[in-house]
Amino acid sequence: MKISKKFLYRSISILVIILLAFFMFVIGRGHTIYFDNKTFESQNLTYNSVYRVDLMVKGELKGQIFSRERISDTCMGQSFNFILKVIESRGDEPKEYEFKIRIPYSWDGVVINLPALINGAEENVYMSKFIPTVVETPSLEDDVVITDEFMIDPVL
Amino acid sequence: MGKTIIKTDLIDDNNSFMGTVKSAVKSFGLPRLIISLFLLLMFILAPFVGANFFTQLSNTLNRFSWNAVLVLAMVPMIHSGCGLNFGLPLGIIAGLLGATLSIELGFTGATTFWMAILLATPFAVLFGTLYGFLLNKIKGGEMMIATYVGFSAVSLMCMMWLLLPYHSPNMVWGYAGTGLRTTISLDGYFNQALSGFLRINIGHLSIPTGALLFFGILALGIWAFLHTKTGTAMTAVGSNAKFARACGVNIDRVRALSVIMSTWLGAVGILVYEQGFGFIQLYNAPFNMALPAVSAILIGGATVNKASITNVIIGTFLFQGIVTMTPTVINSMIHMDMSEVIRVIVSNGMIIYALTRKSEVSK
Amino acid sequence: MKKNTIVSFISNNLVPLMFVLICSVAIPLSGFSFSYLLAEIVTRIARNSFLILSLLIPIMAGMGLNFGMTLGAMAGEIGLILVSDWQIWGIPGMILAMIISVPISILLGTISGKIMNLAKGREMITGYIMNYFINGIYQLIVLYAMGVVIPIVHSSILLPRGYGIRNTVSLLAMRQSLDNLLAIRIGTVKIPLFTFIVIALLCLFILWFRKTKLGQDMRAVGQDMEVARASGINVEKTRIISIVISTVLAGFGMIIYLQNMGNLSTYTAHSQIGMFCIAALLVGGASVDKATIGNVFLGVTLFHILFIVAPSAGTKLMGNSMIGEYFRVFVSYAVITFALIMYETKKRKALREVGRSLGLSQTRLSQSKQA
Repeated sequence: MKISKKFLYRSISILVIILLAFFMFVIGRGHTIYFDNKTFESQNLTYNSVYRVDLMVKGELKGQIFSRERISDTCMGQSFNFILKVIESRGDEPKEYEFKIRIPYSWDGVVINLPALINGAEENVYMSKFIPTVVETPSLEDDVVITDEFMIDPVL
Repeated sequence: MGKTIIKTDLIDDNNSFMGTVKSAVKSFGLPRLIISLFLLLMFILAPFVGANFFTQLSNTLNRFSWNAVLVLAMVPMIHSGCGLNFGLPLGIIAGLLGATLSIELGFTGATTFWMAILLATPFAVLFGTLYGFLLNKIKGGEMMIATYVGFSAVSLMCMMWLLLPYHSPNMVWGYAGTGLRTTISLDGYFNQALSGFLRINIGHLSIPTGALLFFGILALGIWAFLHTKTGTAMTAVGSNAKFARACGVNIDRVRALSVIMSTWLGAVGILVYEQGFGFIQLYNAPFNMALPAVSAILIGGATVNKASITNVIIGTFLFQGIVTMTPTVINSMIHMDMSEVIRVIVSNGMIIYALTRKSEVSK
Repeated sequence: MKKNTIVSFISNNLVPLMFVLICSVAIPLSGFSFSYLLAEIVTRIARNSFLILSLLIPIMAGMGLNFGMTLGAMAGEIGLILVSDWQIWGIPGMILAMIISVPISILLGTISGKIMNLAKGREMITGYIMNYFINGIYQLIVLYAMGVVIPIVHSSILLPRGYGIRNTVSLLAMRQSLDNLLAIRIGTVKIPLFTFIVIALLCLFILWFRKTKLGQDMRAVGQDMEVARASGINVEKTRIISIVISTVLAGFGMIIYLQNMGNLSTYTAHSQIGMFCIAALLVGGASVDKATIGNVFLGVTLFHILFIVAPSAGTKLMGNSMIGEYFRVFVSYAVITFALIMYETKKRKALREVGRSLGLSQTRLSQSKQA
């Protein structure tokens, strides 16, 4: 009996650790979100860019996105809450919208088209995967690996 | 009565063929067998990947001639029971002092080499005496302390190379006028002083006769020394200290002598290495000289308290063979330069293997 | 009588006193302001203490300074590489890296412990060589297997050739995430309160651990293996456990260390970490067979003061900053050498005394027999 009890405790603690790891996977997954204030066409509909959008996350002003601009923000976890203060054209009163979007787990970067989002487009319309356009030119220097076989290089 | 040594053969299944194979493997050592087979495989594979067999053999022989004396420097200390000489950097520093002084004093050509040995000797004797005195105070903990004595000495010398009043324009930093350079070219000094002597060239095969001869003389000297009265006393101290004491051997003196010898051989060893390599390497370079030498003698079949000249020759050849062969063969086979990693794992694995073996005689 | 205690105090605390002396000369020479020094020291205490604390348990079990703590550091690094490829950020990323490092650390610690059991009396040199050996295996995994056998998605951490990890992996997404949690600023000095809480918890754990059955067993093993074995303790297993705990803690410590640094030098970050941690512990007055939590904090403070001021003090004194850099490396090695020598001479002295008392009792025995 004693052995089985020990075994039980061990399996429970391992299970707890695995659950914790799983939980960390979910809440710690980082995404970079790019907000585009650009005119956007999709399914024969045109969403026109607006004069200015203020992005608020957790009560903090993250940035002001003028027409044809892009800013980025980061988030951890798959749900992202933010408030947009939209000024349609110069001199307008800001209109406030609150959004809660879900980001696909496997996407590192997400592009959100603000005009489409504000005008109530479908998720697959306003949100797209961010594909980094900068293609790295492999330099010879990067391929040289500096190893310290005898561990004599003081790094502190 | 006490002098009779009874030898017992403990292998019980000696009659069967498998038994003889097993005992042969046991006496040769499994790790060494694997390494030998690996090296053999490399030599067999070499022609298939487009490497000339004789060029490879020449490279191995060449590297053997550079390193053999450094490995030989392990022998006296192992014999007297001081363990593996992780403090080899101390001897190397003596050698470096000799080399730099010899150049500083204005010698040129091959004379620098002999002068360097001459100038290194007092330093080696001084360092060896102090080091031996220290090791006698801490019997049983030699290896760890040797390592750190070596490190301390190297890092102290790092400061000294900058501060000592060297002036030779071939050695100091050009813009500052003081402080030695990290690498000093030996062109015009003792580059190939030994290796170039009587070098034999047959097609692709090239044998550095002079360096091999020099090693041969030193090895013979050590072998002869180990058969003198003092030499047997040294072996006795290493294998059975109590017995040696009972025979009236002054243990501390014999151990100190072995340390001085090892240190001097280390000094000569680095000079032989430099004449082959063509450069003097200062500052951090001596740090990474001890481990390859230690693992080479262990690959050759030495244990923590037993080593012979044969171990030195076999070990250096196998170790340097792997060092030269694996990059060419492995790289062209799988297009990955894994040779460095293989060498690191093999050589350090060998040291661990040796450390975990029970010493044949408990002190 | 009083003079005697002063002498014994000095001889028992020679290394820390020497360091105080060196520092008191070097600090004014360096010309650093007090507030700058304080800020640096606080950062470094937070960064290094966890790693150094991981050394305490093997010392308790009589296995000396665990040079093999580097093994744990490598396990932590593997965790961090994987986590940064999976893009798990911040504290969850750290926790996940720690969880990944645990099985690797346990495996490496067990191997290391078993090998040290085969090399009793040579634990330190064996652990030291184990570093190099496992470093080879680490390179095999990180340089050749990652991207081939172990999937790595992001090209930002992969070498351009398509396999193997780059020389540096950016940990920007978790940089100082632990340090900034509950951080307090006093003037220019930032106090990473949460990191200190974690370190305090580890201290409490070590204090508690000493009182447990296992902790008591370890101390017994540390005092005398044969006596411990006779009293029914599984000596081999206890020794392995002590190394495993140390390795796991070193892995955590490395993750804490690296989140403060903000990037990971894949092939060199762990190379000197064991040496510097051991030197710091010894500077704090610890010896090979005895170390307390107090030694850790005193040591990390003194050692790092020297590390900060040495280069600029060297420049002022000798006109060459390299002198100072070499000097601090020399001091670290010299301190370790000194401590090892002190330990071995003490051990031999004790042995000789045991021998003498045994001899005395035997002569007494034979005298009484004759009588």
